[in-house]
Order: sequence, then structure tokens, then C-alpha cells
Amino acid sequence: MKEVIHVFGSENNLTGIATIPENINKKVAVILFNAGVLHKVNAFDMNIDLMKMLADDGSLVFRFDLSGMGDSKKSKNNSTLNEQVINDLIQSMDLIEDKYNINEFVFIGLCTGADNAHKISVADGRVMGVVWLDGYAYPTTKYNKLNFIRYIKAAFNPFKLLRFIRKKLVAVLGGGSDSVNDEGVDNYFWELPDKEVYRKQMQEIFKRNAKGLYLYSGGVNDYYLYEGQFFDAFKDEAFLSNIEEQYYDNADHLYVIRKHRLIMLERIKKWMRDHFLVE
Amino acid sequence: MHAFFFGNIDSPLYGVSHSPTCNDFKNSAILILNPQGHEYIRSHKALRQLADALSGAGYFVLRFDYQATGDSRGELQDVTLDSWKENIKIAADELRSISGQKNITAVGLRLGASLAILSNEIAGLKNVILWDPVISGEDYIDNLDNLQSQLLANKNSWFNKPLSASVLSENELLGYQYSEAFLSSMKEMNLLTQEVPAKLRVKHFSTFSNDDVICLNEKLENDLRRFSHYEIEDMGDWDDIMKIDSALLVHKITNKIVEELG
Repeated sequence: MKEVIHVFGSENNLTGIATIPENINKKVAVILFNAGVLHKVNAFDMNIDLMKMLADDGSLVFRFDLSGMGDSKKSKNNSTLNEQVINDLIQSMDLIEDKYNINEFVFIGLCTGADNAHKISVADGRVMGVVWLDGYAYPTTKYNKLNFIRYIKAAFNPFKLLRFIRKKLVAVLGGGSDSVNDEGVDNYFWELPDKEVYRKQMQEIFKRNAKGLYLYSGGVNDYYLYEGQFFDAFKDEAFLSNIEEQYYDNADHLYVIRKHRLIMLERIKKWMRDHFLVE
Repeated sequence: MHAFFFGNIDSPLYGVSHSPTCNDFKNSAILILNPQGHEYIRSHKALRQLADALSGAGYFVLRFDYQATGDSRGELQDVTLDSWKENIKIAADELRSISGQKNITAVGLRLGASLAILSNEIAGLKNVILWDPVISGEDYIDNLDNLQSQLLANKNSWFNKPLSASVLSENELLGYQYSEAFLSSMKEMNLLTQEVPAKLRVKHFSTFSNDDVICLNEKLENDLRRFSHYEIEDMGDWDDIMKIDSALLVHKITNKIVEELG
């Protein structure tokens, strides 16, 4: 396995590292990038663990920093942040296609990275797979019921009630672990797209037979409460046949605990093998 | 800003150099020494901003990742503090080679600051800037252990219910699995008992004060011919579980470091 640093993009401002296994056995390249303001290794080195696991298993893996983050310079374009991110992600695919002759891609993103992974899958037909780590989820009847029960239980437990009030106050007043950075961008939050807009986007994406893996952790129990919530939210949709969903309720949002992380990594490795092995 | 691999071809180190961006070239170059683990992830942006500011002040700057950390290859199971001291020597030599400067100033944050002291002789460092150094390796390990216990106790809704410590792997500390040899080398590390050559010039910047900080200042004041300390109110929060995944947003301390380096 070898690693090559690339400086790329129309402004030559982006920096990334390609990890190239001796025997590539997947038809897609995997692209990893930032979550929030963290640099390309990601929270607790998550992207390094992903890179090692997937490259060892025969995938070419490219990790890079978006414009202005980590080791990439700011862009001089006057585009919006969203346009810039999409442009950066497109340029990462252009680079891999040009240098390594692979023209199909899997994006793996955590939280804001999951949000951006979804957006690039909508914007570019070369994206044939997405792994969303704590990505979007929509409320369902069962979610609402579980959520209601949770609040009732909390109301009768003074410690839980206090914690709930504190959490809400922190959310309203700011601060806490999900703090806002100096550029006014939330570290770990995204805006949930309107459900019907999202449904149409997914229908389009899966017309090209792209695959998706939704992995949820117990760290997002404010909007995801049971395994199958994603499927319940989009019952009878044809695109569900290309989606897999898994809930790791004991794991935290960043998979800090090694055993939890290993289970998550193995799940992604299996999904890659199931869908992208060279025949 | 230029990223490159250097050092041993079998286990290359990842470095990023920042060339001077003004004409007021300085006659020394600056080596930035990272913290370890989640503290490194938190501070990457702050250290890059510091490197940008120093290159803007006329310095040639090198940031790099120790073996088995960040974008440098290797496995944590295979390293000890001695491995990282050797990495610092290699990085200092690389910096001399690419900058053409003989004199190297190390700016170290947390464990990086401790490593700057430990490696000053083998790396030929003349000046060292300490930023919230890890003074006692044993206390540092205890702090990581304490943060990990708070994580498992789930005081901040990290997951759905508190977890037992049995979920941890052997020698796992807040997301990273270390070797027994690494932990032993950390436990032996203590700046309060570390011999420091009198000729080494040290400036110590701290965001907090406690007995260890006071003792370190007294020791360095006694041992060194040139030493100064600055306590600056800025973000650190190294023992706060709420901050383990928050980017380090600092301005005052980095501005002061740049100002002091001139």
C-alpha cells in the first residue's frame, strides 16, 4: 500500500492523500473529507481508521480537506459555502478519475459530512454509493410515540428533567459540546431538507442504482430513536431496495469507544464488499 | 503551504511547510509540535492559524504529525515517547534542510511542549515555546482516564445509557489504544524532574495556573539563564468532558506567541 499527496483543484488550493492498495478489487474509489471544522483525519482519527480498514480490503481511498480547512487553502471564488463544498467534492472526483482512472465513487460522511455526502450524490452522477453516519432522519408515528414516552418518563424523574431543561437551555443560549466555531458555522449540525424534496432527490439518485448505508448512533437520540425509523419514514419507496439501515444505540456520535468503532468499520467494509467488488 | 512526506521511507512522516510571506525574513525557523489524541484534533485549526501568522511574520514554519498520528503512518501500538523524540530530531533536520536556517525554535502545545523539552538536545533546539505543557505524564494519563469515565457515565447524553468499563479494550484511553510501553514512558515523564540545559531559552504560555504550573515556573526560573512566563486568559479546558470534541478557538495566546517571537 502506498500513499501519495495531491495538491489539486482549479485554484490548486486543495490538499489530499490517496492511499493505493497493491491490489485494487473495488470498482469505486472511496472519498473521505471533513466533518464540521475538523481536519481530514476527522474526529478521533475516524477517517484514518476508515482508510486503513478499506484500503487493506482493496479500495483506493482518498481523504482531503475542503477549501480553507485543515491543510487546504481558502478559495478565492466568491461562491457560497455550499457551492464551494460541492465544487471541492467534484474536483476530488475529477482528480481521482484523472490520476487513477476510476470514475465511480463512494462518499462517507459524518454529520455535516453526511449532509455534504448527500448533496454531492444529488449533484454528480458519478457517486454510486454513500455512507451516512448520523445523517438525516425523519420523524414517524413510532418515533413520536417513543419520544412522548421519553418526555413523560423524564417528567417523573427529577434528574432527567433537570438534564432535559439544561440541554434545552444550552440549545437556546448556545455553548456546550456542539458549540459554534469562529466562522459562525455549527460544528456538527445541518439543516434537515424538506421531506418531499429529499424523497425526490433519493428517487433520482437511485435511478442510477446507487447504494446507500445509513448508520445511526445513540448520540443522535434527539432525532432517531429506533432501528427502522428511516425505512418507516419512506414506506413503499422503491429506493429503499438500495438502502441499508443500522442503529448502534450504545455507540456515541463519534464512535470514541474502540469496540464500537470497529463494529461500525466492519459494517462499512461488508457493505463495500457486497456492492462494489470487481467481478 | 506545502504538504509532503519525509523521513524514513517505510514509515514516512507527514509535514506541512509554510514559507515566509513577508520580506522581513527571520534568522531562525519554527517547528510546531502537536499535542496527542483528541487534543491534537481539537487544536489543528489553531496550530495552522499560528503557522500562518508566523510565516506572515517572516518565519519558515514546519508542522508535522508524529509517527502513528494524524496523517503519518504507523501504529500507536509500536511507538513510545522515544519514537516521537526521534521524529522531532528528523523533523528539525528536515526543517533546517528546506529552510536553510540552522537555528530552530520549537513551539509545542500540551504533549508537544513536553516533547520539545525532552528532545531539545537530540534535535538541537535553541529556543522553546511551551503552551500549556503536560507537566506530569502520570497526571495526564489520569486526566484521560477521568474523561473516559465521564464519557462512559454518559453525563452529557453521548449515547442512550451509561456503559460499563468492560466495553473498553486493553490500554484504551479516550479513543486511542496505546501500548504498555507507551503508557510506561508517559508515566515516567515529569518536567519537574527533567534536567534542562541552562542555555536553553524557554518561554512558557499558560491558560491556567495550578501547583504544577507554579512549580514548573520556579524550576525553569532556577535552571535556565533565560526564562519567561505569561499567563493568558484563553481557551484550553483540557479537563472538560464537554470540550473533548470542540475546536480550540484561541486568539490571545497565539497573538502573544507571534508578538513574543517578533
